[in-house]
Amino acid sequence: MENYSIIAEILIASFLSTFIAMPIIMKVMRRLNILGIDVHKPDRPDVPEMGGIGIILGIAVGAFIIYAWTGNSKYLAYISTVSFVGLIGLIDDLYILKAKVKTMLTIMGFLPLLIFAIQYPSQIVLGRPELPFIGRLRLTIIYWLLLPFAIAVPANAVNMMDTYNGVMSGSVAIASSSLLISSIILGRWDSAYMSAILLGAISAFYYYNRYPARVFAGDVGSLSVGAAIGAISVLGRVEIIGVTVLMPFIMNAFHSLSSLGGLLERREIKERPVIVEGGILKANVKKGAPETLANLLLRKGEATELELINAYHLLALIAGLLGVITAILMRVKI
Amino acid sequence: MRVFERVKELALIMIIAWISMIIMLIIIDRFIVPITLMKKGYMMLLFESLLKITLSSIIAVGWLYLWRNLVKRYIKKFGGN
Repeated sequence: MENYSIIAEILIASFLSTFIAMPIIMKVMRRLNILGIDVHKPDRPDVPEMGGIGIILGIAVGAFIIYAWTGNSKYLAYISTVSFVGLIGLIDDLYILKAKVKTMLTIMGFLPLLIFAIQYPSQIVLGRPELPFIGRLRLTIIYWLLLPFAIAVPANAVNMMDTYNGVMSGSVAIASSSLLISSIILGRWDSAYMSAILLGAISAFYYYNRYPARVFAGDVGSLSVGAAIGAISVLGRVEIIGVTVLMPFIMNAFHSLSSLGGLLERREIKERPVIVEGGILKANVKKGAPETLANLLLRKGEATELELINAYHLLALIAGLLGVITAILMRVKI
Repeated sequence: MRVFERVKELALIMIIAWISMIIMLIIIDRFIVPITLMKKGYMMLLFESLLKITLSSIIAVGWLYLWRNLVKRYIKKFGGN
């Protein structure tokens, strides 16, 4: 019962931190003229950018509270990873990094995890992810080869899906809920705490970011949130569940990059994935248009932005359910 | 168009990708990781590790190819290039 009350307390703490900080951040960004154009609205309004700073703040408050209570360095590794990748996003928001440079920098996002794992081997154990039916895998070499991508892939995949009002924040809220439920099913309380922290911060941010958005996360928000999911998966040893809940994000990134033939900055892409005509969205079917999830969803027919956002959230919900099923199956051994 | 109508095929592709991912990881763990070469020595150990990584990569690429192919079929069915 104590674990559940801890979850509730850190969830509320991170939620309130982000919720209270957001109006201040929005005001500051407007004053500094750090604004983005909402291109999917007919009147193309200016919206404050870099609201993701509020998400990092919420995660930091939750992580420091749980660290103060437990003394487990896992939570310091978690917030260090989120902050490190968030800093890369902040630089990208202010100076616009090339896509390849940004990706290379996010690959280094696993370093805080590694440093803490080396420093506190009794508290942070990495390796041998668990799979349904067969238990812990014997992947010893491949695991370490893949570890640098454990933060970079989710960070960039989440970043690539931050395209419509509330899509990223809503989908991450669903993914973190699934991670929370899965962790409780498996009795992994450390990953449950980290998921609760993320859920609290991202839910508060969603309130401001939902359609019609009053703030954008910016790369500082989307990259750090993706890194948070990666860190939860690795530190909480729920890697397979992490991959499962991120499937819509991975699907969006993978098919988009496959169709483009490599990493490109969004300003370098000639054809847009979606055509906007008077508030109605249509798939761009021309050759060279990135096959993003929006492009794929709209191939079945035009839609309003809100209809498209709901479709994204339904896919995230299905992936979330698959995540919970994965956790249940992980309890089954054959 | 109802939301479920719009996402059902992509959801199915996602479920197939999820099932095949788990099968792929089980195959790697059960059939590739236990591979051991008869001869021993540093070079053979290196060769053994490289062989395991190569075989695992081939399977992983096959999985990605399946996923990409399913999406290409989806695009073909619902219009476009």
